[in-house]
Amino acid sequence: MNDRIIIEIDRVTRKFGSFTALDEVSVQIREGEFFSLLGPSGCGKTTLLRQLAGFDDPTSGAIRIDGQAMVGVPANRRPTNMVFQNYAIFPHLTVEQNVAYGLRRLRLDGQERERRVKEALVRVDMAHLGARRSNEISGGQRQRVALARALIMRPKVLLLDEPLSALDKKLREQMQVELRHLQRAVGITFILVTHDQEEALTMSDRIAVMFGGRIAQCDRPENIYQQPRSRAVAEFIGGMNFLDAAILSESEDVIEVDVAGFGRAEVRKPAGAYFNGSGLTIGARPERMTLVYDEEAGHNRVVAGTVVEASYYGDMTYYAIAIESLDRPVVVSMRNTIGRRSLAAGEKVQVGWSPESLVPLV
Amino acid sequence: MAKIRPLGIYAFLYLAFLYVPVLFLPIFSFNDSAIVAFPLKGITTQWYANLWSDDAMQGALWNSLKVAVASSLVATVLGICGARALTRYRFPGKAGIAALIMLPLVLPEIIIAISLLVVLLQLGFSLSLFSVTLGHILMSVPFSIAVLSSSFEGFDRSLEEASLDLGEGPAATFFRVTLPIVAPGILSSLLITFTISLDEFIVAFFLSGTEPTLPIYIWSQLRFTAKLPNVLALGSLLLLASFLLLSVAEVMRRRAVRRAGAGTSGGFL
Repeated sequence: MNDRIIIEIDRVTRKFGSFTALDEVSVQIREGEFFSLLGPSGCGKTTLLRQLAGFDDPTSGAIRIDGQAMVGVPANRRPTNMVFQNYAIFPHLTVEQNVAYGLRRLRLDGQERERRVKEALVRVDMAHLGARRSNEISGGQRQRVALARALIMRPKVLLLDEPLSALDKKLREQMQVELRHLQRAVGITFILVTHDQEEALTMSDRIAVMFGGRIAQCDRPENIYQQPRSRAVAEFIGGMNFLDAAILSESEDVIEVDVAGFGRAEVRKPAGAYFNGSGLTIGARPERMTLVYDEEAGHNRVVAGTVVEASYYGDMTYYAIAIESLDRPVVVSMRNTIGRRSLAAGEKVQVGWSPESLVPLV
Repeated sequence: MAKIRPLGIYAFLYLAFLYVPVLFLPIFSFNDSAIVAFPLKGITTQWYANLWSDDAMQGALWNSLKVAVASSLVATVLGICGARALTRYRFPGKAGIAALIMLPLVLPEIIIAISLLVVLLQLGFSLSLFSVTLGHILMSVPFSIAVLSSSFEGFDRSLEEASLDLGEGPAATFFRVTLPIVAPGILSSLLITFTISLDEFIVAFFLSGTEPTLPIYIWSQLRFTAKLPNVLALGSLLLLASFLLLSVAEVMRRRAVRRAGAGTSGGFL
């Protein structure tokens, strides 16, 4: 990845009748970047992807790919290729013919053509199945064919519309890793549309979280997860406790807050954030807190509580802890390491936390 | 040994009722007697040979083929438009329009025939093969739409988008993707509407004027007992031809559905 901008999306708005699918979306995507558009269904992420592919044009705004204005340019003249959600494998053609489909326009000689098809099939590990018909291969294999068919065109940008949503969990996890490797190997900009936060977190260089036709936050996965800017983003990605807090004082980069049930803390202020009024919402990830067992000690801040419910996930257990003066229990997750016993409902515990556990939300 | 079940007996009787009378046609067409009755007198191909030299019959066959080719082509083109509209687009009054288009399927043919006759005469048309063709188009379009809908319904729009995305223009996309995928459905529609027109009697009877189609010719021959075996021979040939055409049509339709990526559906036949 380098710093050259390959895609510029400049105040793009798309209206369908009175419904605004995209509302002044602006974002710049770098060459070689793995960029994800993440959001619930209806947030506009697929609409934005289709604007890049050329299946739809914005009502207003501009899209530039590699410096070229794209609005009005039909899909067949854009330097992008797409992997469709259902893969759209041509049912009347073999795997090989599917992969070679787009090469006809390039008028390559027979040898070069064959070499490129073979190379593309080898890259996705499908070389042995080239003669199969599309109804004779599995879902995972269809996805590989769709990838090979798009990558053989050597696009500047590869667009992926929920490419893993049709696969079962195990295969999905495997393909996440493979897709990431593939992207590094070919060095092409990938733009992935997904509603699966885990998928976005594991695969992306950067994520744009979208709600209601707008980008709510655009950042690296760690920052999106650890420093969500709003309650909507925090809620959509991972689990989060929401706590009311009063602002005691505010300086350039810290705010001192009094968090309900937990007490006073100085928390880091996100860059460029403004907090109006005297109160705010604090978010706290379950794994950023801990339960203090009898044998452990030395936590600088603890608050007493009672286990309400324990949810066992195998590697983790999520505890809902009732804390006096809070109307809702907070959720704390604990890794089930050796020697740590499971807690039952009704047990008294201490919740250990620190100011780094807390994220102020706009 | 498998147990004989009541439903099995019912199915057997049902099929016998449907097909035994039809089987008499080819049997008597080879019988060496002008009287259609058992016992059979002997085997002959004389009646088939008679057909060969029957100019009036051949003229009627030629008329029928012209009408069938024209009406199946036009009905299928209209069917393509209709099926595409009904499966791809949403528009106001869609359900009502669909019902009206499919109505001739259940409308009594005699009603269609009489109303067409009245309208055509009022409009000043003279009765000819052309008016028969119009009537057959009207009757065939619903069948064409029924057949084509099943291959269009499974057609995935993103296939056309994928072709555009891979650099092909709209025309190349139509010929490389759309047409190959729906072609079996179109062929199936052509065969079915062709067969419908070839067999049709009532509308042709009302609208044909002085040029008889094959079914009308057959009907006119029934008045002469001596000609009956000829008609049986002709009937047997028509039976064979219809059976072959409809079988091919159904195979094509199934292929169309499979190609479009859908599962096996109930189907038209």
